[in-house]
Order: sequence, then structure tokens, then C-alpha cells
Amino acid sequence: MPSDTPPSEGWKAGIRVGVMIALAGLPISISFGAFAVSNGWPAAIVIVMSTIVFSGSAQFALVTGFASGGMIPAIASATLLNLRFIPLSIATASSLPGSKLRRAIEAQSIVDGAWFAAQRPDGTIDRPMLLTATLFQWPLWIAGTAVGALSKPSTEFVDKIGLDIVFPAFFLVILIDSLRARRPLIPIALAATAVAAISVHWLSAGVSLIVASFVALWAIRGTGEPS
Amino acid sequence: MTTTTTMLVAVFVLAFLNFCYKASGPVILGDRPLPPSFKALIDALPAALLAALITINLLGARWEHFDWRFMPGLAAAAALRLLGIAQIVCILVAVVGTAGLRALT
Repeated sequence: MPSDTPPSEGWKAGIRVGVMIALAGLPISISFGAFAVSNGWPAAIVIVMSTIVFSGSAQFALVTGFASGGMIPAIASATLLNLRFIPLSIATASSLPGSKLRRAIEAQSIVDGAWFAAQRPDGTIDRPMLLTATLFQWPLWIAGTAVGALSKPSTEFVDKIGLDIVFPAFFLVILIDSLRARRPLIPIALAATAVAAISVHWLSAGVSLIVASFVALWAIRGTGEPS
Repeated sequence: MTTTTTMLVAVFVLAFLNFCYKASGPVILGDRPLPPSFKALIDALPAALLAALITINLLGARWEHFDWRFMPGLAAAAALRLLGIAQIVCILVAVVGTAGLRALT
């Protein structure tokens, strides 16, 4: 880990962030459980999925893909969506201590909300924040899935009380914090918004996410290396 | 293979690939420093991904999920965050604003 990195915000900050992300993710996990069961998945398998996959977007993609084309398209769409974890893992590697095995295991704590929240202004990752935030999210994600799978609340109810706004609102405040610390990235965020909006009109959500992420290549200009 | 078995296999394959993706950084990169261009790319990726995630979540495939009543709540949350209000308060304002607007329309 670089010696001049800013100090960690600590485990307590990680717990605070983890609880907030978990609460924000609760309506999504409940929706996922209900969605999967209504698509013919046994509740037990749905709960196992949330336990060992722990990736909302990929889980939705797996269930959707399974309903529309079987196992191969389902796995393809879900894994395509999770390709983003490769660059996130590479970006995290230098912030994790110990042997390769230990770091590979700690890297399993990389999930979107916790990873974005653990970003420091210098681009390194606040390890205590990442680990704690993920550890507090995980059981609530499983519990939410179980509630959804076993009780199947209607999506109309979730929408009526405004819980479907929690996920985008949470990511929006994190994005604002991130851009305030690194203003040169504002054009990249705006460009990614435009690319995502256009591509999701024609392509699936997973593919659109990957297409929009290519906007980040713009940042390579000015580093003196060919893009 | 029964449908249930196929589902289980799909779940375990996805979990395994997910593990490999997340382990790839420490295993492949080790302690080697990143080239400047790759470092710049990695720094920019969260902003691009976050912006895209929000947009895709709001619009949905073929824009079928878009609901204009999200916008006032989100705008209020953004404005409050820019004023330095705590994250959880910003999110609660978005939730209450969206629910209120839906109740009125």
C-alpha cells in the first residue's frame, strides 16, 4: 500500500456506510426475491444465490436470462454484467495487504456500493471501509431476498412508498461526493450518462453498462501513452 | 438435468466466475505498479460506472422504466448533498418526495 495514502476513515465509518447501503439495497433484495420466485425459481435456490453470488444486477440478469433462453444465455448475460469487477479488482489490489491468497479473499468484498464509498480522493481504496461496509450489507441482502422470496410483496407496493428511488438516490450522492473531490472527471460522468441513456434504449442493461464504461478510456488522454 | 438442477448449476457457475473476477487483481497484478494510462482509466471508471448505473436504473431497458416523478426527489437529494447535508437525509428526502408525488398524481 502506498505510504502517502490518506488515513482510513475506520471501521466505524465502514459500519455506518454498510448499514446505509444495506438499507438502500433492502427494497432491491426484497424485489429480487419476489421476482425470482415469480419466475419459477425455488425460494431455497434464490436465497443460496444471494448468499454466494451477492451481486444484484447479475442475479436479476441470471433470472431474466434463464426465463428467456436457458442456462447459457443466463450465465453469459450475468457474467458480462460482472466483468466490471475485473478493473475494480485491479484498482483494489494495491490497497490490500498480505499474501496473494489473502488479498484474493479480501477482494471478494468488492461490491458496487461499498467499493465506490471506499474510494479515496487519490484513487486508493480505504480497506477497513470496504471490508466493513460489505460485511454489513451481506446478511441484509440475504435477509431481504428471503423476505421477498417467501412473502412475494407486489412491486406496486414498493413503488408506492418510494423505495424504488433508494438505489439511484444512494448512487447519486456517492457520485456527487466523488466528483466534488475530482472535478476533471465531471465531463466523463456526463458523457457516460449520455452513452448509457442512448445505449439502454437499444441494448440490454448489462451491455449498456459496459458500453458506457468505455467512456472512461477518455481519461487516458494526457497521460502520454497511446489509448 | 432437471430445471432445478440446471438452476443450481447456473448459480454455482456464476458464483465461481464472480469469485475469479474479484480475485483477478491481487492474483494477476500482485504488487506491480499500474502504468499511468491504466491508472488514469481506473481512476475514471467509478465516475463513468456510477453515472451509467444511475441512468440505466432510472430508464430501464428501452426506457420502459422511466418515471418523471423520480426527478424532483433526485434533484432535491443532489441539491442537499451539494449543501453538505448527510447522505441518509438526502436519500430520505428523495424517498419521501417521490412517494408524496406519486400519492398526489
